[in-house]
This record gives sequence, structure tokens and C-alpha cells, in this order.
Amino acid sequence: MIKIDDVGVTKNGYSILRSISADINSGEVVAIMGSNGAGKSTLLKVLAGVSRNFAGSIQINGRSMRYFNPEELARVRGVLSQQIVLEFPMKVIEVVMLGRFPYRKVMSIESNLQIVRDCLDQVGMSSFSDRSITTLSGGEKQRVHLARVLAQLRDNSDTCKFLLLDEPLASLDIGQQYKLLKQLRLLVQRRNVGVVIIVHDLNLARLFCDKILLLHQGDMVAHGAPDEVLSIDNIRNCFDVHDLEFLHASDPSSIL
Amino acid sequence: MDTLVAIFKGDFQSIRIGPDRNALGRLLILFLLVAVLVSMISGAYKLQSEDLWHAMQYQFGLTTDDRYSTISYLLFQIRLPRVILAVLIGAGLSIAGASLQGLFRNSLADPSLIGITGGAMLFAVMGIVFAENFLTDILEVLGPFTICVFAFIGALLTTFLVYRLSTRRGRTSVATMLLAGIAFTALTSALTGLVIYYSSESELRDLTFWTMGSVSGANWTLIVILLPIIILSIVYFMKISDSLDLMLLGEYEATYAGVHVDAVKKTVIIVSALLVGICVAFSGVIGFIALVVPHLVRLLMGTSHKSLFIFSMILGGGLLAMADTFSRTIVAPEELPIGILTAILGAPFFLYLLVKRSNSNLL
Repeated sequence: MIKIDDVGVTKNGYSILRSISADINSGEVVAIMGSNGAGKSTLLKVLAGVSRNFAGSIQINGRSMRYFNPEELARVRGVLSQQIVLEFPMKVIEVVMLGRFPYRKVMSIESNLQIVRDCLDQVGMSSFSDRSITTLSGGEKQRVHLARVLAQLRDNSDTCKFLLLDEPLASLDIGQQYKLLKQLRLLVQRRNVGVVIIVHDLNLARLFCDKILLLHQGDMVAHGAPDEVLSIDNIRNCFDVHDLEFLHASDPSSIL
Repeated sequence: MDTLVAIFKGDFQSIRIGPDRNALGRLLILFLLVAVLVSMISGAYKLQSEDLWHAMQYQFGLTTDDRYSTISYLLFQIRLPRVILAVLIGAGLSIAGASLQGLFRNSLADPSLIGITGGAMLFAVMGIVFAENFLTDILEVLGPFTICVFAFIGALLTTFLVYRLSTRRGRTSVATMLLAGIAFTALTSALTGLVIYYSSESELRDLTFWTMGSVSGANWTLIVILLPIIILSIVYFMKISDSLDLMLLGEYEATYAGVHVDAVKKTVIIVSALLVGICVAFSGVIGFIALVVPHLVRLLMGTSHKSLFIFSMILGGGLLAMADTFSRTIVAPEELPIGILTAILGAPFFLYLLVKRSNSNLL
């Protein structure tokens, strides 16, 4: 479990996040939502461990995140960034193999390769393994990087792992968005994994996420089940759309 | 270390996944050996194969025939140190280039293009002029290492500054990197000119040698200094090659995957500056070898830094030995400075890369 307790972030004298508290459990897909500048990416960076200047505490599986070294952290949480620019013509299988960095000393190259092939299979990119990543489309590249992050979280232990995704749906068409979210749901069902995802689409969040953490100007407005969080008032206030008319007042997320 | 042992045994396959690279690896080693042999026998005085044999016999005391003393001196005191120095400088510059390209995540990051060589040259020149005239205490302490230390500091400062200027939030801007390189090269060559302006007649000859690049000052002392630095650098680079592979994705991605990015960055800057600094101190400005060699190796062997470092070292050594052979023979008995030769060959290659990149919108 990731336990976020009263986390706050201040940058150059400006308070960017205030008093965020939430739990992320194994088997859950948790969406971080909010308007631009709400603090979503900052929160994800804090959870990812790259932004260490924060108040409050974050515990991963009962241990304070401040005491993890980079390799230990890499074995319990993987991060898929929004845009990754790789200008060198690496092969797909080599890119996914990079995810096995934390295990390079403890597992043989054959075992690591087996896991890499398995992860490529999981995202449906097995047939691309010898292709250069520079020749793939945006959506295909993202699936390769997802396989890399999945490979990073595979080991023989039964420790709970966490996958953090920063706006993974941004460059995908509706079909690809649906497939990716379905894959994430399967992942949390089959493996001991919790997923945190920054997402803008209210409909998709409602369909695929177990919990939503709604931010507005650095404050946590609501945290809980999608139906409770995505109320008309919350949507109007957080996204500054006070004059928006809802077709179905009982189910506001379904119209956006 | 296991990989280095495997390579030593001739097993190149262990350094990367994918198709067989053993044949190519052995071909590159053969190229290096041929380049060294050709370089040893070529020059203003051409040596025959039996000359090599006689020189070796004389050198190792198997014959005392004084007819061979000149050939032995020529081979062991003039030509061999020169060939070995050329190989080491080529190897050092090439692995420095490969590591900088990994650090900047960009295949155009050549030390001479982004101002590092210029910084090393300025400080080396300052070392020659100022240390002899004003800073005699430093000269006393550092002795023959003075120019090396000055060149290293110059290379370190410029690498650090160019990196800081061109990298924001873990991503490097190619345009800023190249423009910062132009600015630093202009500044350092202007300041070098200024130092040269105030130098004496005898210093001027030394300084001209530095600005054009040559391995004609080779001797065994230089090799004894350079060899351990190259060995330690390659061992270190092999150790961090997986981290550099990950850093190609960006600093954040590398951190997410468990790399100690700050530590790797700092040490790559220091080690590559050390290599460039020492190479400039010993042979002046030899441009483009650090750009061309890693690029060719990537084409042949793929992008993995393990193979990149090993084969850049081999190919770089062979290419510079060949370039030196040309520079000694093309206008014999005169010599063409090797830096002029590498620039004539390397600059069009750089232009080709620029055109290729702008066609694929990477600039």
C-alpha cells in the first residue's frame, strides 16, 4: 500500500500542493484528476520519488519512501512518462530490456530476456521486438515503454508493486485509450499491483478507475469512488465550468 | 568486469543481446592490427619486414651487430611510441566522445564541436605561457604534468558549462548544445589567440603545434601516463554502460528505473574531461574523431553502450593510427598536422549528419 499522509509541496515560495492524504492499495486503479495547474504532475513526481522536497510522509508497503535508494524504489514502483524522446535507433527488445536494470546483477540474462518477451507479449508488441523503436508510431512506442515499465516491476517476490502513469491517454485515439485502460484493469486483477493514473476524461475515469483523487489549485477537493467524487458541483468548481448544462443530472460524468 | 574478461577471450556476443557480432568484432581488431603494422613500416624512411625483425633482435640483445642500431632506435624510440600514442589518443577521444554522446543523449556531442577541446586548448596554452612566466611555483609542484592538469581543468569547466546551458529538466536541447559549443569555441580561440599574441618566439612554435594537432611529440613517458588513464576509463565506462543506456531515455526515466543519475553525470563529466584534457595536452586539437567513430560503431553494432565503448576504442585507435600514417607519408618528408586531416574528413561527415537530422526533424 502507498500511504500518502498530509503531503505538501512548496516551490520558490509558492505552495503547489497542500495537505494531500490518501491510500493506494494493491488491486486498485486510482485516477488523479483536476484542471491544468491543479498539481497532478507534482503529486505524481512526489510519488515517483524524483521530487524529494515535500512536507508530510509517504510510505510504500509500510516503509518511508525517504529510506529507499533508487534501485530499491525501482523494484516497487514503475513510472510511465507522458512523452519519451529516444533519438537513437534502439531495438524494441533492447528498450524493454532497459526495464530490467534493477535486476541485472541478481538474475541471468536469459531469465531477464524471458520476462522481457513476456511483457512484450502482454502489451501485444511481440512481433515488433526486432524493429527499431524510431520506426514505430506514437501509440506503438507507448506500448513498448509500458512493456519496459512492466518488466521493471516483475520479480519473484510477492511484494505489492505500483505503476504510476502520467497522462498516458493524451496521444492515443479512443480505441487505444480503451485498450490501454483494459490492460491496466487486467494487470491489477492478475498481479499484486496498484495503479495511479493521471487522466482527463471523466467518462473513462468513471468506467475504469476504482477511486478518484480530485485536485483543485493544489488542494484535494475529494477522494473516493468515482460516483461520489464526480458530482456536478465538484466538476463545475474544479474545471471552472459553472454554466455547463448536464444532460443527466444523476450521472454527470457520462455526458462529458 | 565479466564482460571485459569475455571480450579478452574473444567472446563479443556476451556484451549485447541480438545477432552475432563476433565476426564484426574480430574484423575491427584485425583492422587495428593492420593499421598499427602499416603505420610502423611507413614514413619518411620506409622499413621492410626484415628491418622489423633485425630491430627486434638488436633491441632484445639477440644480436650486437651495430648496423641495426639505427633501425632499432628508429623503431623503438621514434616510430613505435608514435604509433602507440596515436592508437591511445584515438581510443581515448573516441570513448570520451561515446560517453559525452550518452550524457547529452545526442550523437552530435563531439568534444571539439561543443567547445570542450577549445577549453582544454586554452588552458593548455595558458599552462605553457603563464606557468613558465608567472606561476613558477605551480610548475615546480606539477612538473611535466602541468599542461595535462591545465588542459583537464579547461575541459572540465567547458563540459560542465555546456551541459548546464543545454540541459533543462533532464532534457538536452541539441540547438543550444551546438550554439553553446560555437560560442565557447569562438571565445576560447580568441583567448588562445590573445595568449599567443603575448607569447615569446620559442613558445609560439609549441603553441602552433597545439592548435593543429599532431602526435609527433610522442615518447614512452606520455604513453606510461596515458595508458593507465585509458584502461581505468574503459573499466569505469563499462561499469556504467547500462546506466548510460537508460539515460538515453531521459534523466527522469533513468531515475525511475533505478539509476543514480547525478552520480553518473558527475563522473562521466569528470572522466571524459580527463580524457579530452590529456589527449589535447599530448597531441593538441584532433577534431571529429570522437564524432565519427561512435557513429560508425553504432551503425555496425547497435546502440548498447557496452559495445559502443569497446568497439569505439578499437576503431578509434585504428583510425587515428591510419590518419597519422597518411599525415606522415602524404607530403613526405614533411608532415601534415593530423588535426588538419581529421577535420578535412570529419567536417563533411558532420554536415552529412546535420542534413540527415534536419530531414527527420531532429534539429
